Amino acid sequence: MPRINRFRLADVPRTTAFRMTVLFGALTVTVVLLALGVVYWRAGVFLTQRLDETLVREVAEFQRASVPEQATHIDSLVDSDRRGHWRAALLAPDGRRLAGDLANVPEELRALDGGIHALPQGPAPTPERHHAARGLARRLADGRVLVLTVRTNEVHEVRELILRAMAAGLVGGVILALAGGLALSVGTLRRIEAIHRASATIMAGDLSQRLPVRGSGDDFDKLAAIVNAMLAKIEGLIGDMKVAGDNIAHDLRTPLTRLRTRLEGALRRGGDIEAHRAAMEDAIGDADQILATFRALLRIAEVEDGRRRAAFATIDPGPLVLAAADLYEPLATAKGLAFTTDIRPAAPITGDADLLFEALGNLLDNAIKFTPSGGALTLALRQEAGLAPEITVRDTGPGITPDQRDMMFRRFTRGDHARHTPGNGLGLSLVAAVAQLHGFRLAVEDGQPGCVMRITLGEGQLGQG
Amino acid sequence: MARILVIEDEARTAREIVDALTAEGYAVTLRADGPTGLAEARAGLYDAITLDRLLPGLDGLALLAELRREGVTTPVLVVSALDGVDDKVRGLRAGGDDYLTKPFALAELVARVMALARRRADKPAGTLLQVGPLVMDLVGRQATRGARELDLTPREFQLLEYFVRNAEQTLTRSMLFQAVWEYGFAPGTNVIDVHVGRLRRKVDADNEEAMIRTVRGGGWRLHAPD
Repeated sequence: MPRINRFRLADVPRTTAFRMTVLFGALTVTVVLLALGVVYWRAGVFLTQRLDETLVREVAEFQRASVPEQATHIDSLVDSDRRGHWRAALLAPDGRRLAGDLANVPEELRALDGGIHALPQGPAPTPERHHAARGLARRLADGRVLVLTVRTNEVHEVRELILRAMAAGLVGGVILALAGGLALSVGTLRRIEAIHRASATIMAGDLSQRLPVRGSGDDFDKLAAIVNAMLAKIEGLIGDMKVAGDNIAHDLRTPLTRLRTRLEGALRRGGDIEAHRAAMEDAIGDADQILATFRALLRIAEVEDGRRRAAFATIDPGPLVLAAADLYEPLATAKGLAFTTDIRPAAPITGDADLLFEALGNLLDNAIKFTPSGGALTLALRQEAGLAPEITVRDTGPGITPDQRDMMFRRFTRGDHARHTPGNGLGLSLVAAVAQLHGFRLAVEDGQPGCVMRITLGEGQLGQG
Repeated sequence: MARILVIEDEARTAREIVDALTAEGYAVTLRADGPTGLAEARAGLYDAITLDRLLPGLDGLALLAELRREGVTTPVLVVSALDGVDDKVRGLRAGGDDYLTKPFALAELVARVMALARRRADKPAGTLLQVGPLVMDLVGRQATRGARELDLTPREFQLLEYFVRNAEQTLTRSMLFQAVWEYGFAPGTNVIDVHVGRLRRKVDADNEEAMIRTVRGGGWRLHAPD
């Protein structure tokens, strides 16, 4: 039996719930990161484009201005920008600064191609000040050089914001996933622990125990309901077995006691060889009865096993019923019973001829045994159009009361009137087992008077009619 | 004297089987395990073999299969505590061998061994069978005892034919049932007794010497009047 572990936190990471939660958490975080990554990238591109457009617009405004105004334009651009975003210069053809705050053309713009370039270190980098910027430089028609740069810190700020959001989302997501996983796992582990406890009780022998069901209809409840149904079935079977076992013990103990007493008595009485011989013959008779009971039990177990279905063949029920009639008619006649048959043609069936013959034999044997002399016995095979063939055994015996009907197919159950009739009480159990193996319906009906046993050779469940 | 080989590992059962067969006048050899049993069966000239199903060293059915593979045709009675192997049992019976489930009555075992040994010795063929005054015409389906014609049902005719073919041998209930009704189980009650009783009343008239005789320990024997 597996050891029952109490709930332990160390078990949490191994639970399916935890792993699933972590997996989904990781997936969610990845999706969020991807989305934010795209935003991060697109925002950068968008803001850079905005800056570039501003640069282009400034150049256009510069050019619209008259030449004398142009220097002022540059100076005011630089001066009005207190935050120092804009740096600019208007250089004379000989390199002299006409306006702006840049002494010379930054490294990246030396081509003077008028195109916008990134300035990773800024327009005039010093060890203290090196803010990334974008800028352009172009030689004007009159030979002067225009340099315009704008810092890109806005882009970086927005990007940083997005990065922070990503980090916060990541941390939050991971914490949420872990917490959710933990919560779910603890729930799962608790349920498993409860199930484990119930199972341990069951394994220890208390078959009446059931797995706990919360009533929420969740997966665990469904599983527990299935297992509980199985347990109920097993409990029923074990109960049947126990009853059968008790009955076996009872039915074997009686003849075994008789056997023992007989041998003991013979030993004590002594007597001549004939007396001993008689005692031994009686003892053999007792032993035979015990063995017959065993044989019948094994036979039923064999039939109930269901493996014999593999040997099923097509059988014509007519000759089978005829052979049974032929076998038992002398026995009935010898007992002073009127034995009549009504055997009509019937459709072939699928089954085990030996077992069906034995079952039918048992029914006839029972009917003959329990019907008093002077009674009547009828064996019939009939098939109504569109229905399965039916075999009926009708007698004029004491019949079977409705409450006895339920019990009679159980092992070792014998009617009260059967107490003093030889037999092991297993005959009808075998009939029931054979019918069940074949999927045939076995019914007991009131014959008014007597009893009617009806086997329907077709689809059906074992029932008591 | 007919020779029987008994292959049985359970000492007490073996001794009882040997005693019972010896009492019937057979020369009996005993082997207690599979390999030596196989060697003996292969080497000796036996009229019949009783073979336990579960033997140390070699399974009984495997031993039988090996014997047959080597062309040894001695009839074998397989004795087994295992039941529920009807297909195999049917196969054995179809192959001329027989099968007996433990626990068994010694009389049953002896009767079956005798039937097997006898089957090997002489197999009456032909259409006319005779035992003493009893004559059976298998073609005309007629039986007579002396000048008296017996009025038999088809089943009684079959039963009598089996008695005649195994005259002077003990036939048990289950042997008769299996031979005549050909269903594979042992009918529990005295149903066979009633059939034999009926047949006996037809075969043995009041003023005649009884031919169908009850054998102590379970069974009947068809006996030709002296």
